[in-house]
Amino acid sequence: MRTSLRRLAACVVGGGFVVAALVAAGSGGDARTHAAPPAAAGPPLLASGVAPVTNGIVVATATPSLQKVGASAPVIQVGTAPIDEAGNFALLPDPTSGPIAPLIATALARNNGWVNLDLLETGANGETTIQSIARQYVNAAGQPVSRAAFRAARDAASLGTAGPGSGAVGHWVGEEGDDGSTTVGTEHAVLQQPSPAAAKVAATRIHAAVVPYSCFVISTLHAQKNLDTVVGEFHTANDVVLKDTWFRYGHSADSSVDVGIEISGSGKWNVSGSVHVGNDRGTSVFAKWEEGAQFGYKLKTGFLHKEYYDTWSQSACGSPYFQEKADSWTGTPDGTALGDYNHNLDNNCKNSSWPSNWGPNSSTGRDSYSFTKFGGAFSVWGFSAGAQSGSSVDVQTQYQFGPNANHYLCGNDGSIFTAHRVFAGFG
Amino acid sequence: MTAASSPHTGSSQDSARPKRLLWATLAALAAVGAIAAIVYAVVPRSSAGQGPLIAEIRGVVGIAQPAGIGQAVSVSGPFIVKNTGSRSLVLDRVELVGLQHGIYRGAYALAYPDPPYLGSRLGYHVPQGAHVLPGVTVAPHTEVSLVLGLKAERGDHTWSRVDVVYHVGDTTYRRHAAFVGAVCAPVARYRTSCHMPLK
Repeated sequence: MRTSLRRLAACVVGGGFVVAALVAAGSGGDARTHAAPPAAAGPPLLASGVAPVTNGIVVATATPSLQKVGASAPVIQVGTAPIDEAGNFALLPDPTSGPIAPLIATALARNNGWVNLDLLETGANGETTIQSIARQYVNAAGQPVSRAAFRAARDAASLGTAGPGSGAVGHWVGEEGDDGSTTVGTEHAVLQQPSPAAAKVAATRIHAAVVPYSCFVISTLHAQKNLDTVVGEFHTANDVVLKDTWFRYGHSADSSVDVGIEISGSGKWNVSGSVHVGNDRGTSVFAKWEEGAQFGYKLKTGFLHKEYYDTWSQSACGSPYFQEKADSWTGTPDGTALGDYNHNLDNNCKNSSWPSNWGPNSSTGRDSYSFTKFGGAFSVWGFSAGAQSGSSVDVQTQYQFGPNANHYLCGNDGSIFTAHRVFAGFG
Repeated sequence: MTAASSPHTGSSQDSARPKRLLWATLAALAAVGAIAAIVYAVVPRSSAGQGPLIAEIRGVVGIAQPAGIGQAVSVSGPFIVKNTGSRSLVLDRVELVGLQHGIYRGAYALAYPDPPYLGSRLGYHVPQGAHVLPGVTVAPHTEVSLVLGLKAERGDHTWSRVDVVYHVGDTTYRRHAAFVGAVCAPVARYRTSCHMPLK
């Protein structure tokens, strides 16, 4: 009896303290609750969505690293998935094993974690399309996975000590939308029109159980060239302090650049999607435009562009085609250059829905810009296309205003803290 | 009292001890309950996240404003927050993380996008039609711009983040906004060197 009462008392008191502790824990005044997302049950989603073809297969490939013109190698196949009758597919390759693992390691070392891929999609009717996508491999905080963490995950996978999904030290984010979704966009190019003959070839591909398929692509580096490419724009009005009013790009590149496709002999380029250029040129390397009053231009800096000539392993698989891809930020031929003049868009904030007024000697700045996509960002080998920069801290703007009482900035589609373009001057 | 020191205690004492233990237990429980009630009443309740209020900011934004020593300044940008939830929320206060005590003076909310479209300015005056925190109600799916009042003290004083504390019903939330800034005095010293702490 006595023992029972003591146990009861202990339980009651102990339970009371637990209640008190829970109440206290639940009443914390701040949000220290950035809990890591629950561990994934399997590999992270690389890409999903609705393909332009149905009842087929999607093969994710990467262009091999080719440095010299004339060099060639098969494209790297990193994953496959079926495409259903509505076009739906989901690609989930294991990041820590297979051919995608070294691609991720290279991307973490040289491209801020961005992996550039082509999705070759073949439907039952023989139609084959290509979508060029970029995916960044990031940790729970949204930053590129550290090379050490990824190396450890690969080691664990190779030793068989990693459980299901435990190799996923990171997850993928895409850039087709503003939200990092891995759902593919609609941009694509057609490599093979549907036909009975193409359908017959496709049938062997779709039903093949092994990789590589009988149809695979061989890339040859056909040409390469450095040329200035638009990375943003900058606008000022009156009364700014030149040395502290600037647009800065670097030290890592941060640009999404259109990919061009030309079926050999067609003479016509189409855009199949984009690559993300994120190479780091060193912590002290920037492209910086310091500008004074009444300035308005697009801004350009040098990128290396490569043209590939892609052929199929068998002629029945499809026609050869050219691909144009931005490869890296080089600062060649120009570290900083001016593109098109567009100061005519300034001095009109009085008519903007999103103006802001700044006092004497004030300053404002912003990083992780998501700029508008500029068409005509570059032109090479007859391919003229667009580029969009600025989703990281590597693209910054700052305005330092002078002693006047009023200085105006205005956004084109929202406040200056969210707008894709920022203009200057009241008008 | 131990069994060894009172070997001849009778059965009445044997039956009284469990009763005393039970009373002691109940008293302890009552004390614990009281403590829990006090903690519950005094400390604001928080949710598991930052709640339905979002800051309309992409990346990190910054503001810097030099002023005379002791002069008030207003900073905004505009600093827009939006209630994305389906219930009204109430703005309680704004905290500028890392800012020296005594510089923050207060904050008010304006409908957005309505004038005066304040980036920053010298002086801090609550305009007609503005709503001073605490106690500003933001209806569902509505945006307001927040204007923060500061007092410039000698030197450069920075903050590394703005937290907006608000509640929905009984639940208090804290929204972190990537909004850094600086206020500096005097102007002659900091005219072009009042730097916001952007990376």
